[in-house]
Amino acid sequence: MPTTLDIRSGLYYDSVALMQVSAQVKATEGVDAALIGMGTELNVGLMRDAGFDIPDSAAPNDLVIAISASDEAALASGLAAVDEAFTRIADTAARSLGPTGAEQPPLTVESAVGRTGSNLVVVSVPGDYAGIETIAALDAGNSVLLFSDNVDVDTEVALKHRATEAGLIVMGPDCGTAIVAGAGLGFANEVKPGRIGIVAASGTGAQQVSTLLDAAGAGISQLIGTGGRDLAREVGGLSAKQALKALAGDKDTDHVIIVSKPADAEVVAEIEVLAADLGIGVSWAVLGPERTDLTTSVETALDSCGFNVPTWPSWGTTGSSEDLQQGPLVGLFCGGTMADEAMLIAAETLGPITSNIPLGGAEKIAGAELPTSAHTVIDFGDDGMTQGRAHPMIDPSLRLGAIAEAGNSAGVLLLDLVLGHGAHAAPAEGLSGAISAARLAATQAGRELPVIVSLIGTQSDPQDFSATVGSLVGAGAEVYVSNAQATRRAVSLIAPLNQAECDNAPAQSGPSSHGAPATTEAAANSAATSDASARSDVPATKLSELLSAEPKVVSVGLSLFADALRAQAVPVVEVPWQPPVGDANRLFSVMSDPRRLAANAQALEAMLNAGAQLVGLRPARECLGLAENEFLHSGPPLEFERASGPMRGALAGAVVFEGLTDTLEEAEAGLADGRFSMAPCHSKDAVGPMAGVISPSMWMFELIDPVYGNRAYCSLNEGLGKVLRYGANNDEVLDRLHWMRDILGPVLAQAVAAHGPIDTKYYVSQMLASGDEGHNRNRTATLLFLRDLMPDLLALDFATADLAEVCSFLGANDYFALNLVMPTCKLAMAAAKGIPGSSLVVTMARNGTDFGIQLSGTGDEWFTGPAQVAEGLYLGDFGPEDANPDIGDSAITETAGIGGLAMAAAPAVVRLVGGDVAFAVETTRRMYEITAGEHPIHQIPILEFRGVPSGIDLVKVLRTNVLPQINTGMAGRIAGVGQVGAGLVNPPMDCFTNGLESLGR
Amino acid sequence: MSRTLPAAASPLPFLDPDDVTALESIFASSQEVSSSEVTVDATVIGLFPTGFYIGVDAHRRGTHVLPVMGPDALQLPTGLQVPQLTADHLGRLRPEMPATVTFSTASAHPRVERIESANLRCAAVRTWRPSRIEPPDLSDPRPCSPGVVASVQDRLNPGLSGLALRSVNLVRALESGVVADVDSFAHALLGYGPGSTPSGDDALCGIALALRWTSQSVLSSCQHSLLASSLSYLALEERTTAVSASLLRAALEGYCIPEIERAIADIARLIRAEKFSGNGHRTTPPLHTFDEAHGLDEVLANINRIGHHSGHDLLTGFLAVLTPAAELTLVSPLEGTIHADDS
Repeated sequence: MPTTLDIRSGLYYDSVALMQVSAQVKATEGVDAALIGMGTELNVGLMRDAGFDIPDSAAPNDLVIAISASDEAALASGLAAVDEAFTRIADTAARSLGPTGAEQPPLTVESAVGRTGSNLVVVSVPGDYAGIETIAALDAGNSVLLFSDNVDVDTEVALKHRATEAGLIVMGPDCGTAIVAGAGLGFANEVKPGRIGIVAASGTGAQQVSTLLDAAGAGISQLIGTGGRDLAREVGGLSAKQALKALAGDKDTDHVIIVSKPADAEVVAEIEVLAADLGIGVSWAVLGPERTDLTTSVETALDSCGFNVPTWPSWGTTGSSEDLQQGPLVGLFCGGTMADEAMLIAAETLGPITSNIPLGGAEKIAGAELPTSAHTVIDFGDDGMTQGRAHPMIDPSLRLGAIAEAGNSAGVLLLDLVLGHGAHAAPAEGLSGAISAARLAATQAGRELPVIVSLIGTQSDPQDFSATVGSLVGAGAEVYVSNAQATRRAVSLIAPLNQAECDNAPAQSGPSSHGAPATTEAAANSAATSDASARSDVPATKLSELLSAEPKVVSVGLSLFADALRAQAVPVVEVPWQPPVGDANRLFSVMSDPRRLAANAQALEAMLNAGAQLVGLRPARECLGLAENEFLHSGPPLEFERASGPMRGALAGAVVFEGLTDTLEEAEAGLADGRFSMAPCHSKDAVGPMAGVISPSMWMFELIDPVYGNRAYCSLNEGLGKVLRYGANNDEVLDRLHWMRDILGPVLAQAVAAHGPIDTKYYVSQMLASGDEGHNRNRTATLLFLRDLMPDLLALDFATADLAEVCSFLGANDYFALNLVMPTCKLAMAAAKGIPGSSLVVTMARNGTDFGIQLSGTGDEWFTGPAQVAEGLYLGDFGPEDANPDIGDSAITETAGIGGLAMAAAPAVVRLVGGDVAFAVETTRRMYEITAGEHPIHQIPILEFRGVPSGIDLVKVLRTNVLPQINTGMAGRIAGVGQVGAGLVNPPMDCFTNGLESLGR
Repeated sequence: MSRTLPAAASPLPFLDPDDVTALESIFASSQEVSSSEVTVDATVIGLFPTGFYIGVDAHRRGTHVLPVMGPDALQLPTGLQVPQLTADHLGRLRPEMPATVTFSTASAHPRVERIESANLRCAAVRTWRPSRIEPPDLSDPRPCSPGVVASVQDRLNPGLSGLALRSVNLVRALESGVVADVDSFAHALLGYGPGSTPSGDDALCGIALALRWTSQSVLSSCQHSLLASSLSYLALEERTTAVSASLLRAALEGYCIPEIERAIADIARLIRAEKFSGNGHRTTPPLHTFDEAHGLDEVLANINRIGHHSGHDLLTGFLAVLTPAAELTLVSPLEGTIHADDS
């Protein structure tokens, strides 16, 4: 028996792929055996046992293909089959780009979190909107780095409470710095790994502490920012406490340094108790009068952790003048904490320092305008200086201008420069230029201007540390890595005459304007033990996972942060952000409603669980209790004067149909003067397509939800062309209505009664599986209904001609089942109604004048806006000028997740409503961004049987500015014309902004 | 050349640092770049929708593989993570294309600094942290329930018949401490199976991870050493595929893909979810309540998603270690396995 052996190198296939290839080859006629596998010793052994002569050269990374066949020809076809199989595998992989229509980007934070399995969200949108994005991230189970500033303290407290309850942390607001799981977030330096953790209520303070720890060789484990106000009384250290708990559980952390501007004494005491409980050693680096500076605090911590305290590096200090300067000290800072520290140190010698962020009753100035003689420190990173511009660490122009200016007045110039991720990529050149300019100005005025720079950075930072030092020294500056040392050096150059008289100024300066000083001296809290039993009590929250897992980040806001993370090889997904529509405060309060998440989940569950059965047909006067002069119409409530052409035409036609008047004119007059009353179908648990007019003698489908017990009703579909629901009302229309009343209704009523309940929810699933979207394609359900009913229908005691006409009427109208699908959807939404706090939309309906929605959480209240004209395809010679604004209750289908929301399931519908197949698929994918969940049973085959997007969430609509997509028929503007086309339309945004107002009350 | 993509390097050595021969044979052919870096020639081998393999020829030691992983790739513990690697980049690569790998030689073991192929260039900017199995908390007094272990084993569906038996044989040999038996039964698993990560290797990984998971027991710790030394005598790259060899080496250190870490945590939760009866006596029932069985269903659903059989293969090895010796003796070598997966 001929055999062949093929050994191929460098090919990797999984075992299933190889099994598929083997199976295919074995299926080739004449092939006796086919063994295909990697050339491991054991596999080679197996092949040899099977009689193949495998050479010793076969190595484990070789793919060995051994085939035996009855003859050479079979062997050749076997080998050809191998190639074919491998080619097919390669082609399949190459083509695995999915169906037409691009994947839609995540439009909300929660969508991005869900898709990527991220563990952290970075929020840097403007402060007014930051709470919205933060709460969305927390509710999606992620901790947040909140970079945004201008977030009010109430919002901060609310967010931090929510985070604590969920075992998460909000780092911020105004948090510029964190290093978590090895990734620098925001402004962070590239610091060596070590075993000291940092909790920081001050971004630049944390950068100073971490860069000093790096310079000392100690490094850090994690750096968790808390936002500058965290240790103030109002916030109560909520984030610092979360951070401490996380670090106590972190296997890489032995000791924690807490960095802050002046902190509340009670909060500090609480944190110390917590640290003792957790059994983790804590050192404090808290600025304030009578407290040590940050450098000294770091030295104390190093000492208590067993590290040697180094001599902190400095450059350019030799050769500079030791002459004392007569002019004032001018400090121009990027880092607020650096500025605070400089003022605290300088005040000891120079007395109160004028500033835009003054300490202890010193003079406050606004903006960058320098007083000519007072010792002054300005923080260019303060909120007041950053409105409408980026932080000076990113956009240094304002500060550089001030530095160059300062040459005219300053005695000594004190500056900081912060390097690291997020900061300006090459800040040295601009700063050196400004320093040179300032020094030149001083020289021209006959003075020398000493310039002292504290350089916050490490050798591994993305900016070249050594080159930066070189450039600054070249410009004539002295450079220190310790801000405290830099400040002392600057102060030492100020002439004594120029110094304040009171040497002990700080002792009298009283509490800082930033908050009361901490009274508990807790440097190197060595009393705290770190026995394992205490530390094991720390609950394993998502927060500790954040510290141990690989970072995966979602970023919303500035691309800068995402770019900085990408540069560190951290996976990051950016959410495109735009301001939400509507009142941001109201939106935040709606999102903060503690009931909302559970309420939406409950509403969604009810909507998805609800069933639907057609149980019978009855005239409206009977099942809806309509009086003889009572008429229902589609959409929200409407006065006849405001009704559009097709609505007037349909109502008037119905009045004549009921025999209440002889002419349409009389009918209109009666509708206008109230002789004939009108109310929305939805007010009677009914729905009607287009004008949706229901009159007492019309037959209604009656559906029951066997799960929740609700009932829903819909009239019978008249077909296409000139029909009442499109506003037509001539004799042809009225004759058909009479036939429907006298023959169609009774026949169907008896047939359904004979058949028993019909599951219409099942119809919807079948429709989606066979290319219908349930709004403008209903062919499958129509045929299923006819199929189900036919045996019972044919057995009825009616004239054969009548039965035949009924069958032919149903069979000729692909829309017939729309009137079964609509009440099926109505039952789903009825189950989701009336759940307090829920922001899900339970009704979308239009009356040709207004578009109205109802929300689960706001009862029967309607929120309306002007109905829009659809864009689409027109019948015959009709054009946009002939079309009436959007009309009909049929948008209940979209409300329930089908119709326009499920367009991907019905690509052929684009031939009716416009657009192309890619548009249909992309539309459905986009709809997942504004919905709460996916339907477990109604699935879309082309999306790999993903459930239809279900539960439109008003909050997501407002945040994404994406409106629900509706497929619709278009009625003629003038009464009596009928259908003019079909197209695509959206609700007006007003419905949603109005709904928000009510929901937020 | 398009711009350089930032990458995160694995902390695990690309080469066995003790394997001087391999190191020498790789660096022998290199063009030295600087005193702290070495660049060696390599080849693109294996292209996948989410990443690719680079092979470095270590001559007599076979090809060594460096997985280059896009954001959606299986995060192999030895791989280079490149979060910005896209289908576009991969589309420009072809199998057998030349590539280079640059190592830094500054530290004790060479770390991957850069890779280049076609117009793709990736540079390591940080070290990532692969998932690692840690022994469970000592303060948790609950032992493994043999009943539950058996329940889980019953539901596993390894890729090859005989895998459970071969795993149990190795575990028994490790328990006996007979070096020759360990060698021969380890040999019977290594490279056993058709794919690029043979089933036998997955089971070996499972055994290694289980011995690390139980390493607080001195016995387990000794068995782990025994297994490690046995495998170090076998030149792995000569007996199994390069990628599988590197995964096995990582597993001996406790490293695995995150999905396996999760599966082991899930299994641990199940097998230690022991009930205490009213009188304080422990009971160790098999999984019989709805909740427990439901939990197992979920765990198995997750395991099904790991490779084609890899998850089941690996756990077959893992659970072999947790099966008490008393039960092992009940296994008849003639019958095959302790459960009916050989059908």
